[in-house]
Amino acid sequence: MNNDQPEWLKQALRGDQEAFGLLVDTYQRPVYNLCYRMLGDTGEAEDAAQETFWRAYQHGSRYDFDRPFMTWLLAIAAHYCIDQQRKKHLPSFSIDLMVEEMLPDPTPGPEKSTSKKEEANLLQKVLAQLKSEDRAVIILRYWYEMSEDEIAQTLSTTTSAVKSRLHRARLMIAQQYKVPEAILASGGNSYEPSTL
Amino acid sequence: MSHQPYEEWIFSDESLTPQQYEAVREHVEKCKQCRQLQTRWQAAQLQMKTEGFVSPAPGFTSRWQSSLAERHAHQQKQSARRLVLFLIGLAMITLVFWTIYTVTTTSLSDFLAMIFATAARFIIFYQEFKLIVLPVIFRVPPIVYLIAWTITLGTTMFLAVVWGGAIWHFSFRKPKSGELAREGVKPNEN
Repeated sequence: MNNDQPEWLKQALRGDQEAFGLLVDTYQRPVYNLCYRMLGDTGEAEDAAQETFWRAYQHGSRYDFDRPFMTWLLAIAAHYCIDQQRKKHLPSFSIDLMVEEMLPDPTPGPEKSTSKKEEANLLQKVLAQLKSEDRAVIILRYWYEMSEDEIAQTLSTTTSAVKSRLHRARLMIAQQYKVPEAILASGGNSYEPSTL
Repeated sequence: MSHQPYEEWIFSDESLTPQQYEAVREHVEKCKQCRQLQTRWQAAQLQMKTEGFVSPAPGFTSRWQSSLAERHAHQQKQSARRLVLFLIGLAMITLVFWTIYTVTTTSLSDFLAMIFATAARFIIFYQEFKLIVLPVIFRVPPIVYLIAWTITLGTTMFLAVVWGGAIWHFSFRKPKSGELAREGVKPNEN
């Protein structure tokens, strides 16, 4: 057993309700964020996050203390959200029409915060167009900074499957994330490449 | 025009060698499609990195604890329902097996005779019981009847109230804050 885990976490996973309240307090934000990014709706994200903690509470005895707790919790949330998406069978609609409406405003100044919000909405809508498994991979990679191996462990899949999903998802995002024409025309110099 | 391996390199998480970097730069200058992909991907990546975490509405932990109490109550009701169904099922299965066993091991006439004999035995037992008990009952003073009826009625009513209260408690009542606190539930964070 990994002794680095705090005592309250062990107590919580043994069914101590007070300790579990502390656990919910500590991990609510990352769990809720994952659910929100996966489902794109605050109400559904709340339900999914609550369900995640309930499942963790019920199956706390199955947790392997040698694994990072966060990975285990996020695995429950991700699997639950993927299942929810499969059950919903979201109707597909034209991404082009949608992104035209959400096109970020390049005007600087007082409207900048509105523009930022629009960009955030645009990103969320582009994410919504991905397959739920691909979306989970992207979210875990960029919001939780997990390695490909960690993502594979979290989603119970292979590293090569994660690599292929990451590539597919990145390509789709790049095709659908519409940036202002001015930036495109300038060859994207406004954005500093992270790897080049 | 071939877009590989440039497309692969544009999306790569790993650092590129100076040669790869130069090759991508040259290709992107000539290829509009890859330039567009690169720009959009970099914009999206930047957006993802600056977005941060979305927080739930305040009071998430309180809502979780309330839902935990509700789920516990729901689980208890389900367990009680399962137990009742199990006992009814067990009784039905026993009855079915007993009937099949009796019908297959005895003839129909013997089976009917056995049912009538059992009924007759019950009637005889009841008659004998009356013969023994009634004379005793008639000799008891009326006050004893009154006391006995009062105790019986009182006990029955008490049990009925307890039974009804238990059903209400497990079915409809929401837990009070004191009980929530005993279960480790904190007061509302809002």
